[in-house]
Amino acid sequence: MTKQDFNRRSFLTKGAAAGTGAVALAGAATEAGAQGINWDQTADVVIIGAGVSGLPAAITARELGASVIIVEENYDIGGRGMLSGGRVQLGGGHALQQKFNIKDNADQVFLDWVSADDAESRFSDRDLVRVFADENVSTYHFLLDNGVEFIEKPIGPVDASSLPRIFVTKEWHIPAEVVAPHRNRNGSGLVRRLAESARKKGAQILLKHKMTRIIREQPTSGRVLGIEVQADGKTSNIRATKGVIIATGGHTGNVNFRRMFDPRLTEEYQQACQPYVYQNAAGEIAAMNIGASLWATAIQTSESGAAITKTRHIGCRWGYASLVYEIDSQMFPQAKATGLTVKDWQDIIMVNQFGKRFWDEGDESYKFFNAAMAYSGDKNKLNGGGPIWAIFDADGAAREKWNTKPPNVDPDGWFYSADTLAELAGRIKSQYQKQPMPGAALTETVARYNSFVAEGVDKDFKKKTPMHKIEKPPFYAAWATPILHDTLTGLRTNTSTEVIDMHGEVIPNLYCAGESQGGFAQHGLARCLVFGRIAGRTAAKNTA
Amino acid sequence: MTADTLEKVTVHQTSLAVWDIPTPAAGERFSIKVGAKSSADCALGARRVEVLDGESVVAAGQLGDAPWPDTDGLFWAEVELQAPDTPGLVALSVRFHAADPDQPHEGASASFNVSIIAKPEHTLTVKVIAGGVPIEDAIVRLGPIRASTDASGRAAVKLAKGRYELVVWKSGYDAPVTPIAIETDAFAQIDVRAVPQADPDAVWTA
Repeated sequence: MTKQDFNRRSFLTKGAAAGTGAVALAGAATEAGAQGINWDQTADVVIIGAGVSGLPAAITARELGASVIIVEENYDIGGRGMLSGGRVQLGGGHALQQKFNIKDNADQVFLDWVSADDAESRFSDRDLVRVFADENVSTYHFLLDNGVEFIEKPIGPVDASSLPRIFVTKEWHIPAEVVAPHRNRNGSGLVRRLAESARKKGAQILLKHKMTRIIREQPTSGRVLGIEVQADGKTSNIRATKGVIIATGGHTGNVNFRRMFDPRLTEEYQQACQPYVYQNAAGEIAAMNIGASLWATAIQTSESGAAITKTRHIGCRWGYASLVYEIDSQMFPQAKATGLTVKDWQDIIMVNQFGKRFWDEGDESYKFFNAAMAYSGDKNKLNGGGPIWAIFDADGAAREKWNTKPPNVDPDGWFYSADTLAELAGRIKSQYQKQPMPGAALTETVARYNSFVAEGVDKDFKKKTPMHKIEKPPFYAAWATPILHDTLTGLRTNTSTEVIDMHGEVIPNLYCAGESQGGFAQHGLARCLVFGRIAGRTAAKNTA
Repeated sequence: MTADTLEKVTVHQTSLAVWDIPTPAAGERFSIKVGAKSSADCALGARRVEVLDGESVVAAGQLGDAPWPDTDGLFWAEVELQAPDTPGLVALSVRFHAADPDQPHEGASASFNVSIIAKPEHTLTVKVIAGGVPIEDAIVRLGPIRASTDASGRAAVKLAKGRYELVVWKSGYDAPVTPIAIETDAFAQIDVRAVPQADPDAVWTA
């Protein structure tokens, strides 16, 4: 044992004792540690991210007596859970399932979510799924015990489930605190209740604190000691005597990171829940910097679930499927428009940056996304498909009952109108439209489509009975580029959520849960909740 | 010619739109609307637009003085045409004449199609239901011929004798294509199936 090692272990013993119960605030620098770090604050468990995984981790750790600090880089809690529809897919035969005579058990949950018949289950790590299945019922009761309320109406079976397992949480009762009010963002009720409970139980939530580094004894060896954070322009260090939990919510918003799995996912693709949340891969990158590995990466490109979605609210920057920022939303000043909700894909066609159709607009499958992301002919941009624009006319707008004026649309790069199609193409100017759309090409595309409508047959892409010509002025172009959603792969962990390094060894005192955790392809909240609890429990019990 | 003179004779671009194209019966007279737009938002009233079948001018019109509603400056004309005697899809084009030296514009052309149908002889009434409930605003279509259902789920279309594929469309519903032979007035009931939203989080209020 070196002198340095001896000093570190002495500190760990003292830190653990001091940290039990309330959070220890060090104030001035108190401890050099193995790397000469000055610790500004100390807790037993430090959690990065106050979302659907971080909050249950905090509650669980506090219930086991550990002191807890959560750092959250956003100005409020919740992460993407705040904007979720609140659909919690927990089964196993919990009380609410029993109330509706749904006969379920943990084994059935496991079998469903490792089924070879479904792309949302066949690639998952079965060890993780087994643990998930076994903790479904206890997680449901955990949610009830911490104030979460459910609407008593089962939904399903959906995804890989063979039984109805989805119950929706009740939306938070204060619209101003919902972030996206009036749009059934019932996940707000989940995360607000959990945050309320976490605070009551003594967890300290530090908002606007951005984790910038996970501190390990040596760059890629030894224990994890804590994290470095930035807040108000200042850098400080937070000591974690029992462990650091990564609950940062995934990587979808990080263009460089997501392209490790799919090089097509270039900068023009927005991420669901921006600008409230950016899934910036902060946790993954910080962990990989100290030796962590990824896991089950095939899931990310398995063409299943909601990893990529169509833009449903066109003509605005952020038009994810079920999410709209109304004008009283906290996000509206950034979103700038609510978008035009497409009810019938027959009312539009979609074209690429060169004014050409690329697929059946009504198709919701990955065939559509593959076509949208295909090489568009842009010699200066070989990856990604470039921007996609919805093109429609005055009749289409009338059928959809759209008001094509702000705040419904954002004319600053996301929506255009013109008297003719050629003029419309010339007006499209976007940070992602690298060259002017040729007016002749758009005019020709629409003329050809109109001939398909006249004949009732789409000879190019087999759109089911093309119904409406695009001919009556004015004409419109609305941003409709696909949106990226679920992060489906991430850091490798064992079933206790301990992060594994590149050599298959546990990184001591480092845990991960939620969308930053690799190995389980399930869409939505349940896996984040279950593994968040497990992470909090494992870290709190850590005596190493 | 001086540089000042050169600036004054800048030629503006022109683009065209063609709309309200009906589905006429063979041999019928019908009309379309043709609009022209100057890239410099010049008033184009009284200018001539022509409809061509190949290289032959088959109709012409004069743009009016008022732009089409809700446009910045699309000057338009209603042009009357004669449908051919044979049913089928006819490809035509429109051309804008650029012949005003005081306000020079480049000429422009645009193509469009017209479906010519056989003269209708019979009425097909279609009722669209979903689980016994009438479906309003469903589109009933047989080739180029179409109609929308009313509150009772009914739509009527006039057809010539022949064989057709009956297609019913409404977003959120699915229905098989139904082959149908028209020999006399007829009635068909189509039972459509509601299709759930694809996105599990989707809750639509629109």
